[in-house]
Amino acid sequence: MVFKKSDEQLIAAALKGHKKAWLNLVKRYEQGLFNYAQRMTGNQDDALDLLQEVFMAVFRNLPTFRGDASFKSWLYRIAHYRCMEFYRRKRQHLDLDEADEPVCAQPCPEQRHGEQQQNKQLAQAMQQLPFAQKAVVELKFFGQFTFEEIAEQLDISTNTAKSRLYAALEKLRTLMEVEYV
Amino acid sequence: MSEHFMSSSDLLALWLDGKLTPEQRAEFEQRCASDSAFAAQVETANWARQQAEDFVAAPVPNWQRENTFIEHNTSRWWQSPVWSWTSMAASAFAVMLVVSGVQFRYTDQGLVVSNQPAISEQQIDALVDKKISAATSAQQQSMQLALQQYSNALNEQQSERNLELTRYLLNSSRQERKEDFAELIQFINQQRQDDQFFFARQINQLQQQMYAQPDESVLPQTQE
Repeated sequence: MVFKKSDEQLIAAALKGHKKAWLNLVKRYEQGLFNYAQRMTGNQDDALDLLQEVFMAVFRNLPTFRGDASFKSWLYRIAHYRCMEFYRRKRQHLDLDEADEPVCAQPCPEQRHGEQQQNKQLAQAMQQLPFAQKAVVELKFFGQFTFEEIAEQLDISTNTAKSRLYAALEKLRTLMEVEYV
Repeated sequence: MSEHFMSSSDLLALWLDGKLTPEQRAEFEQRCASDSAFAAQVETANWARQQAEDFVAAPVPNWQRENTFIEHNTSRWWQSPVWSWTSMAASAFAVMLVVSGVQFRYTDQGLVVSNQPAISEQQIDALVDKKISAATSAQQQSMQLALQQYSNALNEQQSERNLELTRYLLNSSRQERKEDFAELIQFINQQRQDDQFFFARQINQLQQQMYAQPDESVLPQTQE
């Protein structure tokens, strides 16, 4: 029987300088985080960059992790901030100040490659959403967090999280209706 | 009854969080049946949740995981920067001592620190000469002692050999004399035995003559 070490055990070992423990922790969450980043950025290269930035930020801030919330919540909280930073940089870089939201109107070629249309509709439709709504949808449906957890991660109230999600659902419904007309 | 006044937003949130009580669930179903806008919202949420559940996570391409590990928390006490500063300060102090010519001397009064040379060059030369002469005399003495010891050893060895030779000569001459005396005694014994045989034969002849001529007083003839 193989005993799986808890996140807390791996964090404690990583803080003592055990590289293997840290890499195990990274491997445990990299796929979920990579897919999160890919859905948020709509681009695989950006997702990989974001993945690396997030884990570097997590490692730097690992001594400050007190375990009040779960490691996964803390990780996605950092990922959200890094994602916001990514959008801010991208906006400055592309000079899209006049644009309402930096969205990826068309899926990128590498994103289209190998996609299974059945389970990519939501991910594609999410690219049409503003960043704030997209983050709530991501955390609610893919992260399966409660509204309280989402509010805590995004530093917003529970009601704001709910209203953002409902607004996002409304827009998604409109998008899907347009899609299937 | 208060649950019947629950807003659609809260009801939907509870449903999405999976926290509906049986009464709330009944209210939720009733709201879905009666409120088309609410039902559409639920349908969209359900579609999104189903999409998320069916989502096939893309595999993570190869990336440099090791780069996220920064080995700055693993320094040991001997790797502390304090030691490098300490070593640099000690080196600077040593250089200052050398440049300023500070010398430490231990005298009867204790440790003396001064920047004056303790001894002059002449004294150094005298000390060096004295040390060299002492070393030379000590070497000569040791060589003489070694030579003396070698000579004594040779003499002792020679004496032993002479003694052994003398003993050999004495023993061999004694043995020869012993053998000579033994041969002499044997010869004398042989002679005596021959004389005894001769005299015995003479006596026998005389006896025979006396028996053959009993009336004649014949004196034994002397042997010519």
